[in-house]
Amino acid sequence: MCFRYPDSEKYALDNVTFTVNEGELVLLCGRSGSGKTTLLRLLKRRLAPFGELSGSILIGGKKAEELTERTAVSEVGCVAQNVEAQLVAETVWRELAFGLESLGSSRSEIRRKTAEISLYYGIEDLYRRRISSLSGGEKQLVNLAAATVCEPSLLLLDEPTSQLDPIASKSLISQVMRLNRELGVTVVICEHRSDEIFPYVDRVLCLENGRLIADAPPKEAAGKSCFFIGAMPAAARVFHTLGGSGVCPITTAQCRSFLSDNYVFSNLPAATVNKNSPAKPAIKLDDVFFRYSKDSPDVLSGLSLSVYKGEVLSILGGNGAGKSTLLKVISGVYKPYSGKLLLSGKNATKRGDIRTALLPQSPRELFVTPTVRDDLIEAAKAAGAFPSGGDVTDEIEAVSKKLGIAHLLDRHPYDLSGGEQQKAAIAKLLLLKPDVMLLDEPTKGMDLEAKQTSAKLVNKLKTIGVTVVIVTHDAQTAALCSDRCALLFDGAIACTDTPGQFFSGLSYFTTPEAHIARGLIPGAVTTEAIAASCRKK
Amino acid sequence: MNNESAFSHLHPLTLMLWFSFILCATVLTTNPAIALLSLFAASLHRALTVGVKPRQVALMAVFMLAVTLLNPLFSHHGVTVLFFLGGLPITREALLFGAFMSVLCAAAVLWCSSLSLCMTSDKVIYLFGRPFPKLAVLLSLTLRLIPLFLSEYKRMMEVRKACGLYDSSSLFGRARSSLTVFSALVTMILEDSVDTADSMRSRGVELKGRTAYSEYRFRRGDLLTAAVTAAALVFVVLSGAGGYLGFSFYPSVTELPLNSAAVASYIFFGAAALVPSITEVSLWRRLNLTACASDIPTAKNTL
Amino acid sequence: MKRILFAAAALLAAAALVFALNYESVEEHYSSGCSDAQTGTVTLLVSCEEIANDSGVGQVLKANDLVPDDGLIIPETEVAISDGDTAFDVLSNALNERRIHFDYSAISDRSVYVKGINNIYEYDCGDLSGWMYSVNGDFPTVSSSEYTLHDGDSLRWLYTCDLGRDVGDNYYAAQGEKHE
Repeated sequence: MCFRYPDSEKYALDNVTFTVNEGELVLLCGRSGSGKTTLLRLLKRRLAPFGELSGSILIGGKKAEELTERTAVSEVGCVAQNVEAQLVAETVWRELAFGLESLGSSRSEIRRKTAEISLYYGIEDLYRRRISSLSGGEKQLVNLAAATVCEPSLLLLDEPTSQLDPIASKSLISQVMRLNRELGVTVVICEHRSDEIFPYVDRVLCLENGRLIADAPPKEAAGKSCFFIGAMPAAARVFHTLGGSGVCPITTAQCRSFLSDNYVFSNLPAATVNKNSPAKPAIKLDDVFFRYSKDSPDVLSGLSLSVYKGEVLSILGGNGAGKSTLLKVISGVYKPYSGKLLLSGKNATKRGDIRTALLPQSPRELFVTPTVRDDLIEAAKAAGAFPSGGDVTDEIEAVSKKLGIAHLLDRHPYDLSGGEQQKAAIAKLLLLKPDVMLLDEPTKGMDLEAKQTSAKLVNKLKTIGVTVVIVTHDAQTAALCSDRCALLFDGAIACTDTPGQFFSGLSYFTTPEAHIARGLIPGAVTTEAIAASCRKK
Repeated sequence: MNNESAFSHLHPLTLMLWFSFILCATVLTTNPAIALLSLFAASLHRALTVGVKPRQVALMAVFMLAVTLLNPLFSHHGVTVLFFLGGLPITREALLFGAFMSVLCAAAVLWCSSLSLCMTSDKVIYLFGRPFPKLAVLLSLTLRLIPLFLSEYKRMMEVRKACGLYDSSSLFGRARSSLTVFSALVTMILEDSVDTADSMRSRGVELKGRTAYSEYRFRRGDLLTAAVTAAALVFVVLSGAGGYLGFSFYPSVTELPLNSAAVASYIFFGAAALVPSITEVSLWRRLNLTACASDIPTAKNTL
Repeated sequence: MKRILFAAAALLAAAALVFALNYESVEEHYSSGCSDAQTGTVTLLVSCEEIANDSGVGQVLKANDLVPDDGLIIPETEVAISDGDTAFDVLSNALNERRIHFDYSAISDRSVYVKGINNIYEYDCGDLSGWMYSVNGDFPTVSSSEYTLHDGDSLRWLYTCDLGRDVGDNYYAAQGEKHE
């Protein structure tokens, strides 16, 4: 099968041939822009992009274009990555009934099927709720339920977890696996973050530049070195980084036995902590209390925290721990009802000499103009340091070169990919000349490779002298780029330490690498650290 | 106090019939007995569902007083002159008519609050969606968009404040900030609507023969309510048309009609107006009864 | 709580304003006759004969004894005028003297519009009903407060049920709806 978009010389998909057997769970991976989405959309009649298609797509033995409209709707279910935009109704039950209404099902049938699907996913208590009152994870679960309520035999998932936090995405993935195992629904899933699902899929397909470069069971696929490393589970990454041979481990247990069978371990060099120069705290929160309204519970209760000038501090915490709220308190959007917030030692009421900038969870919220350039100009003007027009342009050129977005300046911000959007957003924030940059979940939905790119970006900020505070769910992010880590729990900071100390002290809330290294290499929380301390037997 | 009303469990069609009758009767009547009955029933229902909040009661009282006192300032109609103000007569009739208007307004406001409590968007969609399933889709989409828009607006504003991009120094600055965010938001929603359209298409919105699913059933309570409403409707409309309910404030206040047609209309109107409160109370009683029933075995065990 | 206080304060302010607008008891109002130098006399008649003569209209008014049997609220009488008195001044003085209720509204700072006399209001007898005045048989096209009377004039205030046609004015028959 080949496919080419009308205005493009290149084939978006080039000679892709594969078969998915009934009841299989297939993982489709590849870098962004490798043609994953195009491939998935071609499988669904109504979503097929316009273009030149050669070859044929057979679904259930029939050519895709020969299926009736009705079967195309009911037999193939889809869940895409944009959680919010996929929802069409204002209540959950209406959302669930939507597909069945289209098929013209009778009232009793709709009632039975929506009831059944709610029970199956355990969302009975959401049934009557308004969509706007649901969390992101719940919304995507409703999307999954709404896509499967017509009892499709094939389910297509296009990065369904990319906007979810790790806990919600785990529960979504487990529901997908359950569908496949229990009901025999054929699933083709496209995922960046494949740690969770990788060991359990039947087959892995890997696309690169529109070509299928791998089509194999997970163990084999993980063993191939051509396979791109960002999409692999931690176990396989450790294996490849060490240049191992033989059967590739894909689970934590397999990797632990692989390591202990083949390697001896040396202790990591103790992290050099710069304790001799206790820099001034850029931000100091002293016994801060905050709540949203008179009757709601405290979100922050007695939180004390110091952020030193020029450091990168990661604040970890679970869902609803108040991480985003904390950032908004620091940036002055919310006022604590008790306690002090000191910026550079001064009371936060006069925030003249220290500027904060906040990168929201979805960077797109930061853009308000039709081009990236206009947005950067807006920021540069707001910073007010450039009296003449020429300087603004120079400054923008410099910043965009530094972040590698010079070629994107005239694009519409919403047309950029997730990573590009983040870079552009950071460029905008940098032009505001902030002393402190606050990043809210900067690696949400990213694979390891993208996380590493983000980590590099954060390090770049640090070299410019910007103090960075990151809040995240994700232990890997914190391990990759921070000088210190803190755990936010129950409205206050539970502990603060260097990443090595911090994560090896935790057993559950930590990186998959730390799980692998636990008991073998104390303090190793990244693939690199593990690799550094291993010697072949 | 939860804001859920037992009355709202009725079928949307019943609710529509009931509310349109009560609201029309309340607003169109010139009969103080009907207005007072309506206000009493509306206050009772509000007290039973939302509860009595001193603040709101005080606000309502001030509002009613204002309407009562303002009317005689603008209307000098009436044979009983109390005193003169600026050369024009202030009359007892105008004062009483003001009081009557304030009762009407208060009743209408309270009924509208009950309406918004009971007639959830779900039910509105059902009412329009049954004859036109595609319209139901459109309504549902729109209703979803509003909270989405608001929350996204709030988030973007917060981000701008956090980055110091929000100019709060002047009204002009604030307006410009809002406008910037608003226009960006419209683009964002349009952008997302491509995905929404995909999602709808993949679930067959273009197929012919769409049905409109609803969760509502016409129960015994609906029948009862509809019957009482219909009876009240017939009596009030017929008596009103026949002039048996006639009452006027100008030029002098007439006597309250107490002929048999009028009395029957009062009784039926009162009964219809009290249906929500009765529904509420009877639900409580039934809930209490079942609670007592479940206590009995425990009592036995302790013996 | 703040809002209620605010509303109450607004109400008080309104009340104060109202009382600043010259409060008079009924007695005070009717006993305050004007006694300027008399410079002449006019004849005045206030009539609602059109209602009295038509049994089909004004039931409520008749039930309240507001319409005299002969339809004359003020039968033709001579009244004294002083310099610069307008048709409106003459009417209001005469009515006050007889303690008859009447109601008007100011259209601008000079012209007023008479809405009701003896509780007989405009529109009480249909959409085309209301009060008009004539001087020496002509129906002036200015407001009664802008029409200055002279010695010997004959002023009539007439209630029309048909935009003036029934009381002898044909001006509005050809013009749009507007009655004086």
